[in-house]
Amino acid sequence: MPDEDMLGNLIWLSLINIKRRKLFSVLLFTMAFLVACSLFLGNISHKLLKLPEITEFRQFFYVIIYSVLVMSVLILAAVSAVSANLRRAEYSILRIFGAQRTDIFLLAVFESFFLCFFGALCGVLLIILLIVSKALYIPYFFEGMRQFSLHRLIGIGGQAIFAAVIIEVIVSAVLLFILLRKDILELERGAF
Amino acid sequence: MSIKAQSVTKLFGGPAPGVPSVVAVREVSLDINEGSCTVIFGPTGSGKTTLLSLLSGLARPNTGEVIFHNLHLSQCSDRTISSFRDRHIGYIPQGLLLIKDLTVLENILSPNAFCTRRLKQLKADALQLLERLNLQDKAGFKPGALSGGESRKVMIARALVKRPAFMFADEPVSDLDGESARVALKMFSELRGEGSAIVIASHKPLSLGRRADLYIINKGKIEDHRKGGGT
Repeated sequence: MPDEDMLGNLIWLSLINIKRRKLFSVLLFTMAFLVACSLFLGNISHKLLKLPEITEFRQFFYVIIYSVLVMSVLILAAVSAVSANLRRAEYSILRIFGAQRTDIFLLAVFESFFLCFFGALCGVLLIILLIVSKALYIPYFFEGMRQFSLHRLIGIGGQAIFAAVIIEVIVSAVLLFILLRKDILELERGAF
Repeated sequence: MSIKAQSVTKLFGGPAPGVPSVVAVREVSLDINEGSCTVIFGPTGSGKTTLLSLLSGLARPNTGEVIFHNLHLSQCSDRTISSFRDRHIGYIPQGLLLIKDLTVLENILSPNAFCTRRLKQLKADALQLLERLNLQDKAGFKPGALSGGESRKVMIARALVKRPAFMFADEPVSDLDGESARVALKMFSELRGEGSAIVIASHKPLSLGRRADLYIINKGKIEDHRKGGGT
């Protein structure tokens, strides 16, 4: 486990990386936003709302939600793979100076975690806001909306955030783990 | 503390299957001791960079041993070697390797962020080094705005900031003008004064100011060794 100073240094470095890699950060944030929205809507529909008896309509609703979820995870995997490949030279510089594979892994996980957490949080807050303001009101589907209490919504939102962060961090981490299996110390020989 | 190379040989695969491998370093033995200065001198393609990589734990030899403090580096795990590099090694690569989206100061700090020193302390040391290298005004610049010589100076500061026990420098002053090269070599000399060992690979003679062990390498083999013979 990294010590306190190193942990502070790693958090600093992850925030710097998030700031400088704007495109990747926006993509990861958006994916977490979409995953959290899908999970949250899926969850409240499944657990709390009184769904109509029109099964086709219900199935259509679920298909939309879970398609968005699957697409987001696939796009996230592609974005993470491209990003890790583009950053091989950077990782090699860190490795030359003594960073272990686990340090780089931890750095990437921190970056994903921060972006996913805030993306998922924004997604859930937006849905809660839409529900509370009654802007999101679909006849039949949200018939049971009046029975909703805010703390219940927040509880389910928390679950959605947690699940979105876990999904995204695992996808990024697995891809990075596969890419880092190859030794990346060829940089000083001009292999990149 | 010392690093010893015992009959190390490093091969690289041929350009295609069936084509013979290239012997980059052939049965080289040398000792790097605390407070010493070693110059590895040889023409382009003679194996200087590969030898530095082997000695600093960046590459593993095909045969022979690199030993640091009873630690056989070729048999160590990646974690142990990384920890060895983190704690004891400073390295200036031959190419201009900087992270293009980070500022000069961030480039110096980021590879050293994995060590256990506080960021504040690292930052103060980095700014001091930049001032000595006459780059204090460029701390917020990105590498794209620097000349080749300035980028080289940033790499020197990046390697020096953690005051390593062993400093490996691959053609460290090749892009520098006379005055900047003199300042950089003086900084190496000061580091040596603190008890660190300096190893410099170069294809041209250097003015180090103090006597150094000179190894002349050609086609991967040490052809001559003059103890205290280089200056």
